[in-house]
Amino acid sequence: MTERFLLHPDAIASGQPLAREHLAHRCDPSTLDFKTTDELPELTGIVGQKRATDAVGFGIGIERRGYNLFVMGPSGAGKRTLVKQVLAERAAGVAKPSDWVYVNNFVHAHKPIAIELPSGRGAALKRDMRQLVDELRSTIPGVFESEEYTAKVGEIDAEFTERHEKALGELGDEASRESIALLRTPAGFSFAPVKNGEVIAPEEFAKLPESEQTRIEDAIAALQAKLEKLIRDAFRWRKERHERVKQLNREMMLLAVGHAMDELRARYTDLPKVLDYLDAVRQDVIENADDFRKREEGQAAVIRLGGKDESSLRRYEVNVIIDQAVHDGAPVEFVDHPTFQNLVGRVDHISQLGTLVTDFNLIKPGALHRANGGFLLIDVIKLLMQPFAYEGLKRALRRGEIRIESLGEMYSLVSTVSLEPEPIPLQVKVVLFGERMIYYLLQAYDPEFGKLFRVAADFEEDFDRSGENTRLYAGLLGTIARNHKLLPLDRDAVARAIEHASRRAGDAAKIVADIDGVIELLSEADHRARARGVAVIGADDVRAAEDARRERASRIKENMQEAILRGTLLIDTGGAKVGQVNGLSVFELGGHAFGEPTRITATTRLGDGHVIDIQREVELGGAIHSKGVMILSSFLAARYSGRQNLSLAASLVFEQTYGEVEGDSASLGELCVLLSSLAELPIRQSLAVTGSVNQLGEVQAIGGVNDKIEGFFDVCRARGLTGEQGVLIPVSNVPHLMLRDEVVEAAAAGQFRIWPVRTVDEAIELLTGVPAGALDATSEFPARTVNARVAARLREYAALRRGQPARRTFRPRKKGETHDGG
Amino acid sequence: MTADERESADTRKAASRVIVVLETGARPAPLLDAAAQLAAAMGAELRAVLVEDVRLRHAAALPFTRELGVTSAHSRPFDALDMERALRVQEELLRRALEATAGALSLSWALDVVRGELLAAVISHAGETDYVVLGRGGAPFGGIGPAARTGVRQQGAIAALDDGSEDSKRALLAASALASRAGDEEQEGELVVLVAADGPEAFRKRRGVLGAWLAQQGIAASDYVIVPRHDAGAVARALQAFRASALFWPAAAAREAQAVAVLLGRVSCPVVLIP
Repeated sequence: MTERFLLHPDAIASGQPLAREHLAHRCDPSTLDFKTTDELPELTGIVGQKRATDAVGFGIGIERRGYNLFVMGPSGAGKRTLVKQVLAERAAGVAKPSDWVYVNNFVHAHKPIAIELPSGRGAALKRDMRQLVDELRSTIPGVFESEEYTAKVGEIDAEFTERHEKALGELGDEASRESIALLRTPAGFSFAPVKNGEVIAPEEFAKLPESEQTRIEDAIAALQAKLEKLIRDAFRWRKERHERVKQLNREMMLLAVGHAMDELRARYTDLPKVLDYLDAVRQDVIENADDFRKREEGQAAVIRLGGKDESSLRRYEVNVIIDQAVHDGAPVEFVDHPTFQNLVGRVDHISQLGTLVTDFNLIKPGALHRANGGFLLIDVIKLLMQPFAYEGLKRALRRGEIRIESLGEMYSLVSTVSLEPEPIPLQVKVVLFGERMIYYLLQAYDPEFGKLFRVAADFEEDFDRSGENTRLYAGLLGTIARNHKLLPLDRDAVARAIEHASRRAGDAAKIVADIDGVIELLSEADHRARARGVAVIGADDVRAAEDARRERASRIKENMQEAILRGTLLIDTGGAKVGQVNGLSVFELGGHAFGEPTRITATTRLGDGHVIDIQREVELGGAIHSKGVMILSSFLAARYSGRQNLSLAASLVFEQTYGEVEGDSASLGELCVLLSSLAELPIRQSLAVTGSVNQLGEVQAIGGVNDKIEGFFDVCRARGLTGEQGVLIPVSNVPHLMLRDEVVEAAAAGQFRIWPVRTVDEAIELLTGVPAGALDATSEFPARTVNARVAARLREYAALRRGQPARRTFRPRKKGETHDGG
Repeated sequence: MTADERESADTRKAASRVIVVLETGARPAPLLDAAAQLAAAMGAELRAVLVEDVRLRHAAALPFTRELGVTSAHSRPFDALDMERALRVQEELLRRALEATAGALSLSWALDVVRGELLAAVISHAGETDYVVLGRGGAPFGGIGPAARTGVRQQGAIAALDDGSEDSKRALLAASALASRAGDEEQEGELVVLVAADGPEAFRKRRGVLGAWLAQQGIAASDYVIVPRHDAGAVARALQAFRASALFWPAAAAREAQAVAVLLGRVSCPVVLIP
């Protein structure tokens, strides 16, 4: 079925209008061996993407560091579908990765500890710890209120009170023996000499012998020194008492806490890091048993790092950041918004009394945590658009660990207290999706990229329209219909959809690999079929959907057509004119392409061999377009002025274009219009021409051939098809033809023709009706040919330039002539 | 009215005032709290008497007298002017504390400042129907430390001394009233009866009598403890054992000034004298 289109262009006769079978590659429904797509089996693979499929399978299968994937190709080609299919199979066969929890670090609270547990046991540890805390909250206050504890504390207090009393009493007794009283002042103590129980009055003291006064003062000074020591000792005793009470607390808690902890430890004997954590918890509970005493109800729960209020029990919480119990097999995580924090996780803060505070319970996982042990899928363009995200991802892959870092802290933007959670080992396969350009840019400019993303899976824009692929594509249509709950397609609809896919590929021998586009087309066809009340999508539904889509996007095209038909845009579709030809342009707007004719004109005169491209002069011509024009100069010089200077000045312009012109597909038209001007031979305006040309005058393939032909056809049809109208295209574009039905029908009826051309000579002959003429044995062109006229004109210009009288070799064209016979 | 009813009416004779007597340098808060609770329980007025030790003024007049701070252990000069200023500050602080404590329980209150000796002040101020609250308010060097952090119950037992006198029954009733306020919705505070008896037999008998009498009043003591008569040291030990938060002391026993002085020197809880 496709063999005709796989013929080399050499096998196609040029200079003759193309036969109907060359204008579109129809899909014959009779070759499809089913009635509706319901009969077709589910398509599990991706059609026509063997290279990419193999690469994806390899990249996902290989378990080596750095073998991450970059999946590139056009959007809608099924990149994600394929990767997800492969991952679904692969992930199911991989053991469930571990759970990860963050717990408090009782030594360095700002460095929470990460613990790895078998799948499902992270949540269990969290439950167990909550249960433990609940148990301790009832057990520990009971211990504090026990008779034993109360009595023991009473004993300690009594002992120290007695020590105070005794020491003070002894000091008082010692003072009494010296006839000195120990007095309580409002803020402390004082000593005063007494006599008969009364403090000696100052006058009486003054009357005492000096020796007695000295004795008393010395005695008081000595007593004060002892009292000072006593007060200092009291501080030490108070501290000693505090330590004794703490030691008592430890002894009392050891049993109560130990019993509960031993039960818990028994469940985690296989996890040494959990046991270490539980030991730290035990020690902390014993040291801070007072935190478990019941608080007044309604007390605000506030976070305070290292605080001793109700919320301080938060430090015994377990923050399960990854619970793999919810997955079967390895996780496959697609991150839609790959910010730095969404990738590597973050530490949240909450406001408390105007300050931002945090603790390990506020550590939030990122996509890397969720995908750890599995696969992470990211759109590379979204990744690159997020500040620091690409670097953060690479850093994690390079280090092989997930380290939660605050961007604010890294760049000193904030000064809040934050955490340094222990990094978590990372084992993940990252799959980036993106355009080829991004892949090549990253390869070129990022030395790390190639080391981290070693596997590239390159999806094709299209694939061969072989018999096998056609059948698979039919299966794909059926699968899409089922998966999206659309009506099945009958074989005519499938054939039509295949033709549509070829047209979108811009190649009759190809099928476009745009699954999204197929889904859109079938969804709209389904809508129309349901509106008709039928149970199967038919070819008319598909065709109507195509037309409707084209119609919705045709506002600008119709405006341009209207401008042409009203004479605002000057396009002739009949008659003949010197130095004027219909070129063809393709406009691409919003994913919709359409073709329109553009008038190209040329003027020639004596000059120094330059062809002026007016588009380029005003900076409305792209580089490729300029290249095409410069090739014309070379062609003219090489063919006609081999032994003399090219004494030509020519100007080329795309008339009535106000935007940038790019591409070299008009170079054939530009060359023909130059030849027309030089030869003073009129060009048939009923024809349009497209194709690029090389220095040898060979016509080369261009893009958008179908849109260009249809653009000119629509103008001609609107004015009335005459049978003279048609388009010249490169013969190498013939295999790309997938023209609309009405174009094909018009061509078949002889109302519109498509002329394949191989050389500029073939083109100029068709355009002027005059033989181009080939060099004879004397290196001269035959008389009455286009080339002979051009050569004569250039010789004339050269002679004029040398100052010799010009010798004309052909007569001027008479008004009304369509071509010059010679 | 039967003899028992007369007796009961007599023992329930309402206190007109609860007088808390404070010495210079005492920590007022525990004493004020206990006195205020008692006043609320008895429907009495709360009166505070600050007894300024007259010896302090004499001592301050001496040229070499220094004060040693109880917290800082710093020795500083201490003259009469300093002394006067410090006493006024203490008076003002006491007034504020009294106002706050009494205000919280809607009690009427008054503050008197007298100079002299503690027991003399008690005798001169207390009437027949007044309860007198005495004590140091804690250990001499500022208490025994952060009790609240240890989880020790803040409210200990209420103790009452029974010496066989009629005043003892009034002491028991008053102690019971305070114990009721000291408890919570689930459990009343503990009431411990210290029975001053000459021997175990006498103790058993007296315990039986008191038990029956208390039962008639709808009161249950949590413990009965024997203490030798006229032995303030034994009373102090019993109070420490029960971590008593107050002792109710019949006036007959209180008249023994030496015993009161010993007791006040040995215990940190308030002692309530029942006249």
